[in-house]
Amino acid sequence: MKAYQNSLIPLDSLITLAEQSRSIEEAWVQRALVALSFKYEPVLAQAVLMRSLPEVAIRRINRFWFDTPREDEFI
Amino acid sequence: MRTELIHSHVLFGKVKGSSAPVWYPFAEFLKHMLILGRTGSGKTNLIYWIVYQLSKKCGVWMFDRKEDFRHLLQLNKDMYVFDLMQDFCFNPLQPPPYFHPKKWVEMVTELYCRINSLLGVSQNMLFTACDKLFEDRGIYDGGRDYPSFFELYDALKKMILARWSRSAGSRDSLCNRFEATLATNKSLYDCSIGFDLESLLNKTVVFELAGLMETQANFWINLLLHWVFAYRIGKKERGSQLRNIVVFDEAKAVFSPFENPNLGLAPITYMVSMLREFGVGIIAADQTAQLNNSIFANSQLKILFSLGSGDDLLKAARSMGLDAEQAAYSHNLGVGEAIVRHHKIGKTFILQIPKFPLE
Repeated sequence: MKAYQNSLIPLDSLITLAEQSRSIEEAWVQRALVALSFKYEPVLAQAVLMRSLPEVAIRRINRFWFDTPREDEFI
Repeated sequence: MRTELIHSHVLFGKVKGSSAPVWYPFAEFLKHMLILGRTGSGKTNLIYWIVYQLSKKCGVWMFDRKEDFRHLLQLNKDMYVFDLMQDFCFNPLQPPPYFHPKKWVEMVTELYCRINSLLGVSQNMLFTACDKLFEDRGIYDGGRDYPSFFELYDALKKMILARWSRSAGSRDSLCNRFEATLATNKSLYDCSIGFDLESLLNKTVVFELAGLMETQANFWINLLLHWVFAYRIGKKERGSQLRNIVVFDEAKAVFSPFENPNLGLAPITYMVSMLREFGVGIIAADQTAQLNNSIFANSQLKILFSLGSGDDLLKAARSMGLDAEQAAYSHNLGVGEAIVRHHKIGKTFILQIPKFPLE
């Protein structure tokens, strides 16, 4: 967890977050931990720490640059 | 999934990030398709899926330099595989049914000279020799005793020309190319009437080109494409119905980016834009994006697997209109994943293609 020691988020909170989010997807959690810093993503980090919308927060950090068209659109 | 669509569409795979199947209508294949990706990225696997589904709906001709497509025989017993070095015989001078022989002579002589980098004098000489053989044998009056390439070569050798003249030099160049052509595979050219291509038009056929010199392979691909074009135009078969799909793996041999300014645009350049009107769609695939611009300009659907070179990625991304993040994502693509920019629906997505069930 050295990489996160300069983060303004308390280490214990990050560990708790990681444990809570394990059910979502491990790789996502890792990326979320990297991105979660008050310096760069204060609103998202706060939202996660307040235990509100953790999935939404993680998805916004882990941006997917592509569309997801529906089956009907191809017809 | 709407399985009834299998009668009018080809299923490519599914959209990454959702469970939506990716369908592509048959008619859209007439607008041509370009598939780019490094070795092992999944190009041939996607082509297997497409060919397997289309082979029940229209004629599919595949030009294969690596003996990849013969494996489809495991699942499609009605498929024909011809190795041009061994078991194929066709006379390039035999015109397609419904097409005027003189126009065919013009087409073939021009094609042969352009592909062999021969300039106007040689081309005119070849046309004159061929035209005379056709006259003498009554081909223009309905005769079917078509001269073979060997007989055309003999006619060129017998032409009486002033020694050291420019014409004699051009004849030497022509004969030099013919000697290489005929030495490649005698049985391929040694016939007056070759295999019945008309009966193969609606079939799934693999033309294997492994072992042929690049010029020879290029000539045969172009010749067969011109044959299809001439047949369709002669039979007045225009319209938006998909009649044939032509597949090129290793497309750079045909869609070479290098053009001889003395010879003008490569013959394939014209074909790509015209074939569509006659019901022929092209699927071109290659490991690099270093291809003739005509295939970028004329292919509506572009599918980008992971590429091995940054230059190729830049060119592909530019042609597909990808932004920087989307282009950079191509490095994260796994095997069987590709970026697709679908012009019809105006969306860019990741296509996930399952492995084709071949051993």
